[in-house]
Amino acid sequence: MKVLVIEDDPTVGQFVKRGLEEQRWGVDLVADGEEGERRAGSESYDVVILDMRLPGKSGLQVLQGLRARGFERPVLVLTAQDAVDAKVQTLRAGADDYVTKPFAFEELLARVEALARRPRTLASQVLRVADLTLDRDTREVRRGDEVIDLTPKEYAVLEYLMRHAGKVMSRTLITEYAWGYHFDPGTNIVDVVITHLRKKVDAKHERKLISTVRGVGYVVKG
Amino acid sequence: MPSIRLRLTAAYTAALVGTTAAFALALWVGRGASKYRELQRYTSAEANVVLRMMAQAQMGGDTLIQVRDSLVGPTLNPKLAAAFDALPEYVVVLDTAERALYLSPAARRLDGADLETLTHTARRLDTDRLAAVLTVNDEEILAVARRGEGVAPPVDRVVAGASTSAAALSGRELVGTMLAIVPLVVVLSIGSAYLIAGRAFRPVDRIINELEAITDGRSLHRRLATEGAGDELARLSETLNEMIGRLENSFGALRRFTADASHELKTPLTVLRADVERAMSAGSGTTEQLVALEEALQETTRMSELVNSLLTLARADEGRFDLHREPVPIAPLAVDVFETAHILGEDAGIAVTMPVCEDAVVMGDRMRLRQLFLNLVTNAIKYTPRGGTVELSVRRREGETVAFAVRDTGIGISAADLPYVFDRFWRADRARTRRVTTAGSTTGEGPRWADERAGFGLGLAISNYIAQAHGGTLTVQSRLTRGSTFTVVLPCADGTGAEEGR
Repeated sequence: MKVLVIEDDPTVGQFVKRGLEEQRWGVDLVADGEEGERRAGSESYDVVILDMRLPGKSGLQVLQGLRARGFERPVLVLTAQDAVDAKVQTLRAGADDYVTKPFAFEELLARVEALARRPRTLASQVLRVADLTLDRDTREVRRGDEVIDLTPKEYAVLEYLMRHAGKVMSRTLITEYAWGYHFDPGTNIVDVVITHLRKKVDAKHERKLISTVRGVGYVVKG
Repeated sequence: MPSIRLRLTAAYTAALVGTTAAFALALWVGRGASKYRELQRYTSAEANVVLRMMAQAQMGGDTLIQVRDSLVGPTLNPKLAAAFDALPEYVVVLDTAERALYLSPAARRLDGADLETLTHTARRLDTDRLAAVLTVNDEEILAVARRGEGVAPPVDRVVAGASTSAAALSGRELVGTMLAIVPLVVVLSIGSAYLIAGRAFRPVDRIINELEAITDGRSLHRRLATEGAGDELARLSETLNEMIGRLENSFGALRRFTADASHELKTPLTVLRADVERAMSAGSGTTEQLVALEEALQETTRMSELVNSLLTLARADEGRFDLHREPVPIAPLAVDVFETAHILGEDAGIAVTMPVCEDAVVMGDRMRLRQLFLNLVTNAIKYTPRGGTVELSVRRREGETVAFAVRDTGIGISAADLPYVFDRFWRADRARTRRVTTAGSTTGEGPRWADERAGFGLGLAISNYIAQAHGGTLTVQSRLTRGSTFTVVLPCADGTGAEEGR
């Protein structure tokens, strides 16, 4: 699966490129609108990621040019405008989806995957860490044979940690995932939810799956 | 300060009443003088009558003077005296030796001293002079003298006098009339002054109304009409138009700045965020490095939120509050917010309840409504000391509206601060945070939040805009130390007739 990233800012471009490459995508990075339009037309990509603000030819012009020449592959737009009219404008011009800057990589990946209709990285919808399982279809969580009843926020936090099992996930990222952007990351809300999760998931078991990394966040590992 | 119209009315009234009073005074003085002249003519005529009667009697061959008693001296012929007695006023006939030959009944009634004054004046009264005013018997009289021409000596002159009370009485009458008229004049002048002032200010009212319509932030391209060129109001309108022009220019500049800033600020933030996220996910750093990265990430998120808030408000100022409208069931949203509130409350030692949650559907932006509810809930928890309660409720109301209310037992907002609560950058924190922190420290705990920092003071301003953009209202009731209640009222989309209206 191949992605073309048209982004003039090298840091953002590299960030997207490496992130996608880690997920085994083939990524071409182009910094110029004209060049990007030419490459998109000549090679076959599954998804094009297009920045709206490019030097020279703007993202909108590139998009309109591509669609005018019959380019049919999905285009994901990166925009700094979160005004509805600006988003509507890009969608009308032929974009399939958009991500508003600044974005979390998680969100970008999810949208790229959805656009490419690529099967999820995990064949099964069941996440497993040691004897803890989480079924993303039924939203059922078990530790061993015991079914654990979680509130929506507890479920969201646990799902996020299990999806990134073994990796330390920062409190800010967890907050953003479970509560969205308009929520102050300065609260203790994640810690409270983790306390609840520990009681429900770890309390009765000798083997603790949730651990704290002070000042950073939490990690779930087997 | 009363309105200019009222002040003008008062001034007009004072001027009219003053003018009327001055007119009355002039009338009174003038009327008094003419009364004296009339009185003088009247008394002169009386003296002339006496003289003529004496002359006729003399021509008829009657003796004028008779001496009955050498002690009393000469007196007037009793026939004549009887005729003169019919005269109503003071009449004195003097002989050449300045002795009184005759006193009229009014003069005879005077006591010794007053009679002396009268006869003395009569004696001294120069017949060339017109008149003299003297006081006898507590009464002011005007006296004139006529020389007895055509009348044989010893009759020398006739003095006639009449009370001036007739003239004085007319002054009192005038005052009485004035007292009756003045209230009428006052009422009439207030009424007409109010109408005149209103008429004079009608163009100003029109300018004010037009200005209000123009300066709501959306119609700055409009200008005031400047008809009736040259007068003060036309000049005022022109000056205001210039000001509106400048405002339009600066708002235009602000709009362009907003669009540019959204990119100029967001792009570096995206880069920063990308760098931090990448460094974190590399997983190779030490814990210390991770802590630093987490702090950086948190700050980046805060910065992004601030930029978003500023852009949101800038757009709201232009009247463009973009909403992604869809039917939003309020109850599930409230339940979601309630869970978050409950978790925050648990951390803060505050009981959070939601006793009523009625369902309703609002045509609105789900994300924005959630932001609005979360803002109110986090505020309530932030400003309620440990041990307090926060109560959420969702109630259907009459008129197809739904009310989301957040009531806390927090430190409240003073009456002086209440009107400014929804102003941007108004920091409840300046007044409130300190006290919350103090309350926390008495229980031996640190600050409430992991990162105790006041917000940017934009939350309630944005909340207010969100409510208004949905055709709703955000109101607050509060008492210092007792707590606050914030209530959002939104129009429902699922009610009878409401849906067809959309």
